[in-house]
Amino acid sequence: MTLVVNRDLCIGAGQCVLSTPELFDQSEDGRVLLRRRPVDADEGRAAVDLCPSGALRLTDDTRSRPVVPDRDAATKGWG
Amino acid sequence: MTANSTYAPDAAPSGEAPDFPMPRTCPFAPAPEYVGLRAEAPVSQVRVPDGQLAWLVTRYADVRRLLTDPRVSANRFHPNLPLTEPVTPQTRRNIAAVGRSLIGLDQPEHGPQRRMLIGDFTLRRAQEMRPHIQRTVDECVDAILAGPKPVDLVAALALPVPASMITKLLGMPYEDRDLIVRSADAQLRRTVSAEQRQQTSSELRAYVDRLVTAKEAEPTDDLLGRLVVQNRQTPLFDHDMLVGLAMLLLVAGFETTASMISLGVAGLLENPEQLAVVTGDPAAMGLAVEELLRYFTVVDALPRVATADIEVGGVTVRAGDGLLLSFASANWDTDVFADAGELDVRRGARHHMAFGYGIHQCIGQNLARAELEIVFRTLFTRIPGLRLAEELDGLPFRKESNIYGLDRLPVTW
Repeated sequence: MTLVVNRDLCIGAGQCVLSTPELFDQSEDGRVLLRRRPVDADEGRAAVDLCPSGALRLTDDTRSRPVVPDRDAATKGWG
Repeated sequence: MTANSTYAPDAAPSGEAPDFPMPRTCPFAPAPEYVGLRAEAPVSQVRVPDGQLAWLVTRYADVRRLLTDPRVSANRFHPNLPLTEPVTPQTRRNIAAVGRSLIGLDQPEHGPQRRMLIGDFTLRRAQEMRPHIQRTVDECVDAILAGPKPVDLVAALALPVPASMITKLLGMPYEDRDLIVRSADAQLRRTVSAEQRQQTSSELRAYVDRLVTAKEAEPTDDLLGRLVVQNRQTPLFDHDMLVGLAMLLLVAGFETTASMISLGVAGLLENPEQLAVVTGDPAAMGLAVEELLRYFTVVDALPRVATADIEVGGVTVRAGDGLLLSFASANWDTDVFADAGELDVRRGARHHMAFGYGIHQCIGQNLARAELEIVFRTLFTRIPGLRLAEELDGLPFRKESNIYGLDRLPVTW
């Protein structure tokens, strides 16, 4: 299983940050950021279940990779 | 407090749908009919005040699934949208005013509007609001301690705290708080006459219109000011839409939080062993707030319309049918929450739907969490001997209101 983050679907509820702050953050524009690559898909499971908009999901597709924020977003929202 | 009456579909002749909203009979529990509906008729027809039929959805799994189903529309202009209050011309105008922004939009229109706002509602922003909330709560508690006993906690705490918060957030002058409090109170209190309600509602709308006009002329560093600036770069809202949006944020961010404050205090006072858990461990308050949100679920149900045929809960909802998705019922669904009728501040369940679910999930939820946490922690720390001054069952609960709550909460210490 792979954790997939689709920032285009994010509605900024912040449930992922509340439940799993070590893995998720929000950028200045309010959308989800991954703070780092997840150790495994299970690490994001609680957040995936809480995410109201489908921005976070788990997939069996091994070709998908966790989306790590681009550098600009990272410098704004990292940590 | 657990309700035990059951819904008996066979008792009613077919075609005779029960009325909705269904009144609560116990101050803390949702309508008792929900228990039987979840078990036997999880998607069933009800009649709303204007006579229309709609499908009431009562199971957690069904409510959650429908809230992410693209065939379910939030369109406020659809004639079949089941309104849960008697529809007056004023109600229609209010619905039209807010229907063009956020709450009444489907994708793809919803996303760009929501994204223009969410930067103001991050957890970090909620964190930054905490000193302001704490100051406001401390001032309220100072006044309570200095005043006579008993005191009405709705007027002394539950209304002023979210009013202060929303005025700061939207960039309203602090002294205009009073108008918001009066207006919300008039909307929710059953003893207020229809004319009076209409008058305060119009007064508020005229005020918000002037406020938005002022922000358009001179954008300030607050949510509305920033929205005006962003909207110049990427125009999504005309003036009337901005007014509607400001009204929506004002009402949604205020009445619900005020209700949760008074109900939460009553709930903790009536369950002293639960109160002891949170007063004994300040770190427990975060999840205790989640449980109070689940337990009271002040917004019972939201209306939707099906845009295609949908199979759900053993029935076929036809395109064009109205839907009522009950959060109050879903949050007491024992398939998801064991002993759902028990207030258990250590439950640790974040997946309740007190803030809804799907793309319309409450935008201000993290501000609400911050307010509730600070209010409960401060109140019970500073007034440890707090208790109800009257019997719970005799208190004026808003059984008929769209937003459940209390008209008055007399406490002493």
